[in-house]
Amino acid sequence: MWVLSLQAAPTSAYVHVPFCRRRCHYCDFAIVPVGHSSRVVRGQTAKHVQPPPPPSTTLDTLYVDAVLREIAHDRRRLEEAGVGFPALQTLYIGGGTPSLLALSALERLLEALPLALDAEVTLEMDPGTFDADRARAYRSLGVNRASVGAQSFDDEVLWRCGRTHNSHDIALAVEALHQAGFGDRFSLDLISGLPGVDAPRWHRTLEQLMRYRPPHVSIYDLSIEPGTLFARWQRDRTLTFPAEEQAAEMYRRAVHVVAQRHGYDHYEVSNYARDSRHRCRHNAVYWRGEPYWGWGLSASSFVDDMRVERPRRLSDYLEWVRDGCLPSEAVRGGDLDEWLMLRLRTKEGVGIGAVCERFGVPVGDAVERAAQRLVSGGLLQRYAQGGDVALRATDPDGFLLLSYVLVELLVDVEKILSIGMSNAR
Amino acid sequence: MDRDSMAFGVCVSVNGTTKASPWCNEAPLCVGQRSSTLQGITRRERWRAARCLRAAAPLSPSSSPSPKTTNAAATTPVGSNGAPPSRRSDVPGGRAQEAEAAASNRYVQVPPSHIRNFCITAHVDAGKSTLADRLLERTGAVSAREMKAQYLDSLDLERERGITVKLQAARMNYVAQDGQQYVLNLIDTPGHVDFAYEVSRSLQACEGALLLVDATKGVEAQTLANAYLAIENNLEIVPVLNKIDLPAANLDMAAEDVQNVIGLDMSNAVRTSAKMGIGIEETLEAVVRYVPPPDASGAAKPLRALIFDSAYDEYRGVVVFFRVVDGRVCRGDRIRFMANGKEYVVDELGVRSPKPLSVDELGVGEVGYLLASIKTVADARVGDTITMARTPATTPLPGYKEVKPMVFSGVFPANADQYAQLKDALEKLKLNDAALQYESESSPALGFGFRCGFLGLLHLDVVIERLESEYGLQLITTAPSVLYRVHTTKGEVRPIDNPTHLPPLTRIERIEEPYTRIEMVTPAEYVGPLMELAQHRRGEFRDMRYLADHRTVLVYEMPLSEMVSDFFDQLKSRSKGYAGLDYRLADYRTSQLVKLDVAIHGEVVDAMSVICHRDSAQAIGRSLCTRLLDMIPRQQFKVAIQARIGAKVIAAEHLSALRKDVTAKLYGGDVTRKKKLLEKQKRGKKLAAERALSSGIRVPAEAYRAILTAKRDE
Repeated sequence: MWVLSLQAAPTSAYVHVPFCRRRCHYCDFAIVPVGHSSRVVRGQTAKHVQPPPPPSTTLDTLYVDAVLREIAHDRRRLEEAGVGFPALQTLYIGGGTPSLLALSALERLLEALPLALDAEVTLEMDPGTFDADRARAYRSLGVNRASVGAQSFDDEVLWRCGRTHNSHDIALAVEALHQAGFGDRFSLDLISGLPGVDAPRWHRTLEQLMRYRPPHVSIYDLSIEPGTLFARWQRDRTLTFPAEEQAAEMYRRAVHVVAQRHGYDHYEVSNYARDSRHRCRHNAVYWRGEPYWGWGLSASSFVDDMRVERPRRLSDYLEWVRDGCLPSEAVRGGDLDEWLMLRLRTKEGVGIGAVCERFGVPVGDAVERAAQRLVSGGLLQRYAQGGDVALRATDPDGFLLLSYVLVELLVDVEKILSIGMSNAR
Repeated sequence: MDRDSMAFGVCVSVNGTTKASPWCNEAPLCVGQRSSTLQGITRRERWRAARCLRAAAPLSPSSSPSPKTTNAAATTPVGSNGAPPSRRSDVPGGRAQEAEAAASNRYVQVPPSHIRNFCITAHVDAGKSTLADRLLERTGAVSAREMKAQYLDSLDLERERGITVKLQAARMNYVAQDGQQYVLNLIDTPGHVDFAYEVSRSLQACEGALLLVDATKGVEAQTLANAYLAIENNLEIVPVLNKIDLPAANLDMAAEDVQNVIGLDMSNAVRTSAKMGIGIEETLEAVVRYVPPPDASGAAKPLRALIFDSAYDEYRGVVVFFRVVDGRVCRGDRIRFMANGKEYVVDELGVRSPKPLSVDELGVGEVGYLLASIKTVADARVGDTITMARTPATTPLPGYKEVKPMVFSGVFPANADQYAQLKDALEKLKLNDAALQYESESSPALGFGFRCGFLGLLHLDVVIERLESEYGLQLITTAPSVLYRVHTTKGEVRPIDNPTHLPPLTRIERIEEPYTRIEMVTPAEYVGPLMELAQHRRGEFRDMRYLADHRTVLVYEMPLSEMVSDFFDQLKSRSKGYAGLDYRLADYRTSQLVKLDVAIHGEVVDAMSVICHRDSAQAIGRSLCTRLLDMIPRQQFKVAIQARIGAKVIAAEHLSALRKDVTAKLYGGDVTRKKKLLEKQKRGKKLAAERALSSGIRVPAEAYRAILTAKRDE
């Protein structure tokens, strides 16, 4: 199962750091609210670790120990297969709030990972959790890209989301990044469709965003996940959210301002780069369906065509590592559904020739035929990509309805293929 | 219309569960509105109901001894006036029963005067199956060991494998207190209203009926209906008060109830607890004493035997269960079925004890089965008369009728590729289900399929369930319709079971629809809500009677079409589950009926049309549009959903355009989850995908049945 071929050994990795000061109201990620992560481990958590940690162990030490153990497991598996640990081209440390991690813990983590010379090393940092000195320290540890979860520039909106920072913190954070040399390597993340945001407010938010001229921008349309406070408030109608129509308009507005007016490269549904050099290389690995390592709580990996998800609870994760990191719930990945789902997110879309190459000519033909209806409906677009014909979602119409487009496309592809098969019979 | 055909109703129970037993042939509910009512029943119960329609237990060659052996070893002839072997006096105590039990599993011949043919009739849950088990056990037809091993413990499993399914009849040998040997034939009856005709034929094969009353509950909806049915069939009724061991049992109340409501003399009622084995002996004695022996006056006449059940066995063809009324039938005889004139040679003749025992001949008053290489149950219809091919009787037994479907529904494959498979599956089901009717139909919206006729909603549900689970078909079924009589302006009367086929309004003089007489038995506090319900459903109040224990019987006459919806669900919810229901077909009446069409984005979806009363059309239309609003997938354009009568729009809703449907953030960890979601959406789409309207809108299967739960009142 874990015999890896050399080509397949991933050169990208995601490390999850689950610590947050508190949980934001829209968040359903695997996080551990800690106030601060360098607090001492007490009580139950220590029981999941073998041998028991010394009395003064802090939570982040304990956690990074577990992650390092996981990495060592994979390293050993590679060695058993006669392969060395390939140098990573991209590393993404996300969370949670990785900037809450003690520098020493981060240092131990980064030391364990072989990085290529020009590797992209991203660390998610939240406003209010770092200053210029700390940012410099990150830089000296090898971090060369920052992803800053600004979410909004409106204090009232931020407060309603349960964020621990305000707009002033964002300004300070951007300033600190510039001082520490991240000026050309950072991303500002926003959420559109937040409660209380109307068209004028959204416009002001976008204007403010553009004033920073960030090298990279992610604007995610709010999705209300079950179990979150937002979900509860929406159900109880204690908080009103923008209607679908309005949220769609915010998306269009963002495209208009960021991409059309300011010339950013809208290279994925929710991602913009000041120019194409500033695209995030790590996320592109996901969208191209390439393999990647995943380490840490709730992290997902895609190695040897298998997608494996790690436990989402800290105690479960620590036990899982203690018991030898056995891949429990592995799902085969890399099929057509996945390919189209991921590639159609990007500006480049999916090449018909590439589909033919990977899944066979009949499948490629079926995709092309199935796409016709969506092309004429203005949701997909055919264009020449090198020597190939490619399909991509139109911007913004196709992107806005991408899930719909995808289901329609896949259902039609299967219908065409099943008719083809029964004709062959 | 004769009384038999009037007898459309037997039972509907609110509690609706039936214990598994080889005797329990009761489909465990109900005026089963397919989409809604039956949701209240577990899958397992529905499945049981499905089994009840299935083939009889196969008469496997290994389990049925060859005729020779049987006759040589097992037949114990007892002279008509010779001293019967009085085991009771020979062998004392418990051993008498054992010896009797051992003997009982054999074929014992007795004169007609010592035969008792009877059935057990009861409300669901009154303990019918348990009592039957006890009787079998006590008479040794099934030994205590077998009872445990075969009939109780492994029953579910066997049923699931389709081995033991339905016992059409069981023969018990019993030495009564008068020291004489009797043969008691217990004839099983289907319990559900859909199968009222079969029930009436089974009753016709009996001389008596045990009316089982739950002593903790008294008269229930089915008790009434069953008692009347037995009385109509001229049966001697032996009342039995069961469950006397329960603390809640109130014998006086229950007896008074029966006496007051039905008018039966309860002074001789047997008191039993089938569960505890109390009163079993007394029950058997009561059968011997009160149930009359068969009329033997026709012994010398040409053969006339009543078919009361038939079932298809994959290996041996149709097994016909019959009761000899006149004459006798032998193995090797050439017989004729009088209704269809078809002739067969009897390959095998036998009785069920309940294991099949092969015999050479069966005389007047006897109950048995025969095999004659019959291909489909439609050739050996329940109620038909068997006679001799060479010396036929001049007139058949009375009461035969071809069962007519009451409820009709369009059945279409969700995937057009499955049309041939659906046809094949229907043909196979028809082999064992004479009542199922189908003919091909094509609909602009749903493509090619079949218009199927069913005895009732439970029958419909069972058939659909079997098509889906046993034949792996995915089906779209349209809202059930009843059979209307349309009088045209040209003076013709046209039967219409499909709203689509209704002639244009200008050519209709009037429309008649079937009415039913319903009886609701309810605790007094729910009388108000139930009366309101019946009135909303165009019910006409007929009568109100009071039972003991503050219960009331409400009698209404109501259109059958109003029952073919969520009526039963409503009855249950308005009475907190306490009310019971019984209905039977009354007659046809002229009503102010209109055809309600549904148009989606300007296109009339033919398969969604329904016929309804003019006064409720508005409310139904409005509710239907609202329900469809939730079911029709959103499009990139705004979609109008309209209810129309002719060209006139009477209700409308608008489905807003789809503006945004995208997963904003998709990172590594999301792939597996989003893929699962995608998979689910794809399945949902695929199901509906085959049925795209010309506007490209894909209508999900459930939308075709939205009418069932549409509100009939404002």
